Amino acid sequence: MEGKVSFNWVKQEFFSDESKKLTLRKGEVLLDPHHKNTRLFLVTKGKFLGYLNDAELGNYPVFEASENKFIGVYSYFSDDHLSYSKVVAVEDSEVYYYDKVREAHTPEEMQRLSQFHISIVVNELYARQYFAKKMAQDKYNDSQRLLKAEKMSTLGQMAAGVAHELNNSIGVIDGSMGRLSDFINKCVDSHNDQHLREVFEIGKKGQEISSEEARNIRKQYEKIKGLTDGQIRKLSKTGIPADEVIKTLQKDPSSADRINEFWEVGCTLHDMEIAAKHSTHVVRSVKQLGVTEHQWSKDVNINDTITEAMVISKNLTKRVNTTVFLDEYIPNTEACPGQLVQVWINLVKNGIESMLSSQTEDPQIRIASGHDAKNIIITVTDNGPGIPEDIKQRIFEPSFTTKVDGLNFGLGLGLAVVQRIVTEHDAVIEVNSEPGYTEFTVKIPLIS
Amino acid sequence: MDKLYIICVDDQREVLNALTEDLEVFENHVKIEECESVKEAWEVMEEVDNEGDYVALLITDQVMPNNTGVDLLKKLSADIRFGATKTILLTGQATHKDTIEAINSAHLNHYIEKPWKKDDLHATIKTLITQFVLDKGLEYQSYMDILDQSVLLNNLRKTT
Repeated sequence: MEGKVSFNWVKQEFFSDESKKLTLRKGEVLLDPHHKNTRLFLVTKGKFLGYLNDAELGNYPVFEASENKFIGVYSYFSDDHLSYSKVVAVEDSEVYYYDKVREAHTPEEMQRLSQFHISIVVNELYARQYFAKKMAQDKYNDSQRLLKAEKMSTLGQMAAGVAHELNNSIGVIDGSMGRLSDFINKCVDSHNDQHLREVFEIGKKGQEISSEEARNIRKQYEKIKGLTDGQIRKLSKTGIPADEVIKTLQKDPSSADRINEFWEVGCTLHDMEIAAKHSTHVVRSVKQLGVTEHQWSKDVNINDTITEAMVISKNLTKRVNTTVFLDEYIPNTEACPGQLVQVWINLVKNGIESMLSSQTEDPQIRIASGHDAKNIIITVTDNGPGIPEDIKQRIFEPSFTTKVDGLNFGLGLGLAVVQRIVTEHDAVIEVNSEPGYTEFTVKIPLIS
Repeated sequence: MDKLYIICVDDQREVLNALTEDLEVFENHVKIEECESVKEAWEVMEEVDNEGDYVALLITDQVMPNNTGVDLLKKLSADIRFGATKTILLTGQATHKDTIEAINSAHLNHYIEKPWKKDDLHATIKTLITQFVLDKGLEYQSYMDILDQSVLLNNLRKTT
């Protein structure tokens, strides 16, 4: 029989005898280390892994063999015919073998098989090298992942420490604010001036006039003689109707400063109160981020977690047009609020950062909650450039990033963390993306 | 007397209020404009220029919706009408990169970190306004109260 020595020929001539077929169940051992082996196996179905045993590492894999790959190459070709690894079927598998001792083939056939030996050996070498590289790569990725996780947990602990310190100071500020406010209220009362009392109360609502509106209102005051630029600028932003103020000024030209002062004191109280509230909220939220053992609760209002996330990411959200829509009727469910806050922050942050870095025109982000009979559904939508097809599959992988630089506070831990948290909640996350429209949907099952 | 303006830009009204309250000492000599966005600031500045008045100083926050402070600074430095205008970036969270960009491509004069100290802010504004008045060759005597005497003296020494 002349012709090319091909794999198919070898397979048919030497590895097709049904009497030399072995069927192995998943987990069964094909070869044991240090056992004599004179057979060369060809896998026709399933998959095997070869292990070395090491005192420190235990069983660790050194090669794998799937369909059309040979097993036993080393023992078959070596002088002592001793298997050096343990070969186990990792799936239900089938192999055919050729036994060099027991089989009778014609010298010509043997001659032709030997031509194929080198090819078997080279293939084996390549496969093992490839396997070793793959193992090394996996190890490297694992260690990188660990390193990152460790960094993040350190960061979280640091954040929690800072938050704790701040919390005390802010507590003092917040408390003192209340007392100061009471005192100032009394002072205002002691003036016995109903008009100034009203001005003060208007101030306490905070400035409601935009700087642009104030500039328009200013024109009415500029007609009045005797007012300084500063007095006019301030009167314009009090929000007290200009004609009312002008009437008062006509009765008493010196009242401009008093009106401004009382409004300003009120407004300052308001601003301080807002600032203290905001700080308290941020600190509380950051503290929650730092907690490593997250608290699960059976009665979580998902809307609260969204609100919390929006407070923490206010610095980012204010750079784009942000809409929050909360379905008031979503039932409470079992969840880990601290973790969910992270999910929303990450999704919102990713959306905004992609829009900012691509300079999306009129950037918009929307986070909305809703529910059906089985799930609570949260969507985060942006009108950014979308996720390119080729990376869509990879966005949930750890260490995947498209970010080069930019404002990064390290609060978000990436979509890989999102994926992990979502999975821990038995929830699913889906992404739907095209240029100008990207939507992440998280479905959290309701506990029955 | 030529009208000088200080333009303040911050999207947070509470911050803008706190800032302008701290600027009151200058208000007898310069006009103060409050703006809540880059767009608004630009409109106001163009109007000031159209009236033949001067934008002496721009104080801007960095992180704001739509356009950042650095965007505004770059636009300003590229506009010949505001060639002499002094600039302060007043911010709590400009990144290293933003700041470098502001200095290199927008000729930023001064960087002040939030929260600011009133005295530092006053000193910086005095220096910058003095420089503006001198650069423009304005009649400095009328602004004497808000000028930085040492900057003024140094300049007089140089010119005489």
